[in-house]
Amino acid sequence: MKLISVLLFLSFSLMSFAGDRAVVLISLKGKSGLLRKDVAQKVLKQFKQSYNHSLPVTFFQNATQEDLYREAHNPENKALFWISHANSFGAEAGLGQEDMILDSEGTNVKDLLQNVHPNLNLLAVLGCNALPILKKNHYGLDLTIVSFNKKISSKKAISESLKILDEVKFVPGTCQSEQGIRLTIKRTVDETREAVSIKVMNRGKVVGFFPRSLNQVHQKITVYLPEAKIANDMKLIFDSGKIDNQKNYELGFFEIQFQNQGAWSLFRDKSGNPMGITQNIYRYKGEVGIQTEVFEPYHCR
Amino acid sequence: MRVLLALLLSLSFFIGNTPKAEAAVAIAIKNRTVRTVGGVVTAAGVSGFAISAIVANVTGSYSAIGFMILSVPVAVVGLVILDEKKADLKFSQLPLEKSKVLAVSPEDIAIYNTEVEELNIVKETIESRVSDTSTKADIDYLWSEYKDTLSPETLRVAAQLTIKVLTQK
Repeated sequence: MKLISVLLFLSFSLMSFAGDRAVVLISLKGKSGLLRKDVAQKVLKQFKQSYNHSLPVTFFQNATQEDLYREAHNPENKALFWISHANSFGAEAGLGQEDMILDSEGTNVKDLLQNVHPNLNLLAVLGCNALPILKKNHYGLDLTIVSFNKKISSKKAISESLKILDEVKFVPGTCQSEQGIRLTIKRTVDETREAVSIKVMNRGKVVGFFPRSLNQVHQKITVYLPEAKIANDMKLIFDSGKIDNQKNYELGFFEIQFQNQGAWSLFRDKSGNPMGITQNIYRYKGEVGIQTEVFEPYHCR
Repeated sequence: MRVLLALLLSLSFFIGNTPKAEAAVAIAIKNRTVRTVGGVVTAAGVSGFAISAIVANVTGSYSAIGFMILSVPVAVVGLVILDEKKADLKFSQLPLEKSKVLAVSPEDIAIYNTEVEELNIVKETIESRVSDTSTKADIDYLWSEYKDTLSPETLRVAAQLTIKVLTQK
């Protein structure tokens, strides 16, 4: 009997941890030091040398916002390390320098850390002064967060975060249902160009994500918006996150539908040209008081 | 000898490459952004504001020499410092209580808050058309071209915020 209990316990333990892993996303470019060593390679080496945890680890180099979004929502990840340049400027409300967590392609990924899968137990954002950004942008995530509110070297940041990883207890997340207004969004892109990845924002929150299009003319996603009291609450921002507004990005054209109606219009200038280089706005012109429905933002194993 | 040569080569790469270029980019971005934001003051019809003097003030704080001095020890040791120097000025929502400080009404702020994303997109569109040689008149013209896409209340609050931020010491 004892043997059966032990075997049962062991099999349940193995089941609950099958596929669990830590993921490390390195998003750094350039060379450093007198020997002009590749920064990303150097950081990868630093991490591998310092890592001695039993959790299997997967590395992504030249990680983009697309990788971050995918891995932050991957139910297999128990710990996520994002390593890139960052800075918080402590701007007051109104007008100020925008906080940055920058990937190696010049994309500000700070908004993508708002939502993570409930199975994730540790989120480490290793960049200078990234802690105030996480504090400002996070809402109620129940996990261990490692970040710093000062300038820091990659070596020190890695060693500090791995000390904290050793203390984390891995528990499966609880996936809860939510209420929202269901929308279907179709993106149509110019097939001759590669469309950039786009996050869909509503009232400052990320509600959806389009990966970059590779020979795809159409992409379709479903998003849920929180209850809307006024038409402005339904406004959608399609944001590439790019910080260089001197380039010509292919954002695509978006058709937004709910209950078989399309009531959104693209924000344009007097001549009818879309406004925005790195992002576009779609303003809602229909009625409010729309029925919400139950949905599950995440699936837990 | 080979090692010494390699070290000298690396040093020359370093001096000719990263910090100076980074500082130049920072100044260019900052300059263009500040000049673009400054145009909203004219678009809102606020007069008597010398934007050119403010621009000189703000961009002057970015010192290329400062970047180089700070970066040398870091580069020699080869530490990877995870900071980011580039940044963009952006408008964000305001609490209604800020109306007194900005000499606008709470209703103005409420309207501004509903249009802040549009305001940032107008700023971005104008900024993409501003070059290093653009004059204040060029920037004012661009704002006049786009100002009708925003409400007068939003422009008023944006102008007051701009004056407040750019005149801060």
